Amino acid sequence: MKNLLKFLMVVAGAALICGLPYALLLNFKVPVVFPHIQLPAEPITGSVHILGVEFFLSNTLLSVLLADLILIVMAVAAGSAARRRLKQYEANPKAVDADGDDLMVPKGWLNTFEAILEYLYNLVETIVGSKWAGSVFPIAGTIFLLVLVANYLHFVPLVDSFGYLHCTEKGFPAKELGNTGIYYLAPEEGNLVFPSPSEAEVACGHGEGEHSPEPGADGTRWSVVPFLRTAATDLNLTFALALVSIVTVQVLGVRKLGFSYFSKFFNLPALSKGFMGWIELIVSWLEIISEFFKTISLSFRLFGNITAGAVLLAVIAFLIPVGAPIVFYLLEVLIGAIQAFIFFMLTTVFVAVAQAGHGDHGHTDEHH
Amino acid sequence: MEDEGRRSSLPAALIAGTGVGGIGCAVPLLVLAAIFVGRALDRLWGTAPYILLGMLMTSVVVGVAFTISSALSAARAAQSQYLAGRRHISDETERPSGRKAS
Repeated sequence: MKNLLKFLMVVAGAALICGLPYALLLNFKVPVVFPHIQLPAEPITGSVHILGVEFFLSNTLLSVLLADLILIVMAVAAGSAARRRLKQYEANPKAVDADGDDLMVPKGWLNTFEAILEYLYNLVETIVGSKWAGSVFPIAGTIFLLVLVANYLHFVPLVDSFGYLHCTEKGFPAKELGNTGIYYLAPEEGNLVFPSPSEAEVACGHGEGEHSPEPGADGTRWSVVPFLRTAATDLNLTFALALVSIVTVQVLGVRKLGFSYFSKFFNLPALSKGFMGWIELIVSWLEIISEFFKTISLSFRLFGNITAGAVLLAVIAFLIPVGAPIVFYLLEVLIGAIQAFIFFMLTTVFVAVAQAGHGDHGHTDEHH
Repeated sequence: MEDEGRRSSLPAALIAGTGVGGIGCAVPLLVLAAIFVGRALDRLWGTAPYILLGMLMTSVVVGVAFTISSALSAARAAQSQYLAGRRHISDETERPSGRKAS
């Protein structure tokens, strides 16, 4: 009972502090507007043409860069802490830290980072063996950490609330916040949440020779294109990661088995078995298709789960802005970690399967 | 005695709760500050949106680092409090048995 009361007090304190900014926003009549959901990543800067190909910085690419930056800061912080403790230990092996603990015992962030990496490394070692763990872990571990941090960026408050205004007929009027050059979407009186395109006097000027209007101009409607969007909601990222994963699998398969690895795809030695050998050759071609589908399944699994989560959070925050999103945020915390872990595990397991080789099945069959 | 302990621990729990909320609010405040300053500098130098994007990314990195370090230091403080409490309990339980032995 006492613990429950204590827990409720902690929740009440946190809710009081976190609820204040929200209450202030409502006081300034800034409501939660209908979320703008778009599947392709949106460009946030102008484009550059290199060799006839258009390049631009998209909001998902910026999120990946941000996740990279966070990972680099984490790694540098852990590395410098480890070096500092090691230096102190080398100077005086009997010295202790401020808490009176042995210098070789990692503490704080170094301890957390080491625990995560050690757990992942041990897992890889169990699956592919100690000889190949060193080759698989850097790729699989990096993918895990990148996907995890990129997924969790969605939980950083306000991150996907800011962006540039995009003129659209399914949007809301924009109002300037003082004279700051910062605008916010402000639904009309009596129509607080849903946009009403039928009544809108759309003046976006998408036609030839027309100029885009300024935000705040009468009759124009806008939606926010966020500067940062959850990276895994872009199929380009998940497909790129899946390609890295599958190419790693092939490279490590060849490194272990040599050119006999390709007999999995072109089982020419089986032709000596006559008719059944031809069947085995055709079946081996199916392995090529299966490798392509591994790439597709890896990329679409991550993309689908994270996109569905992002849409769910946006819709729940719009429908029931207070309280309910917390439950779904907790759910997304789990899903973000689970999806990163699944990607990591599948990469490792695919390497183990590729390194087992086609011949190993033959040996197993012979023994049995 | 127990009531007195409860009375003193409940405000502490409320303070801890506001502390947790405060950690959560630090990130939005940082992001908001970065947005306003970045936008103002972009307007001043005509560099939109690059300074704003740079400041937004920096604020998120600093905010995440602050959140992690605050959470770790809070965990460390809670752990030392817990260990001190355990030490106190073990001292209390050892004292009567010591008397019996003597």
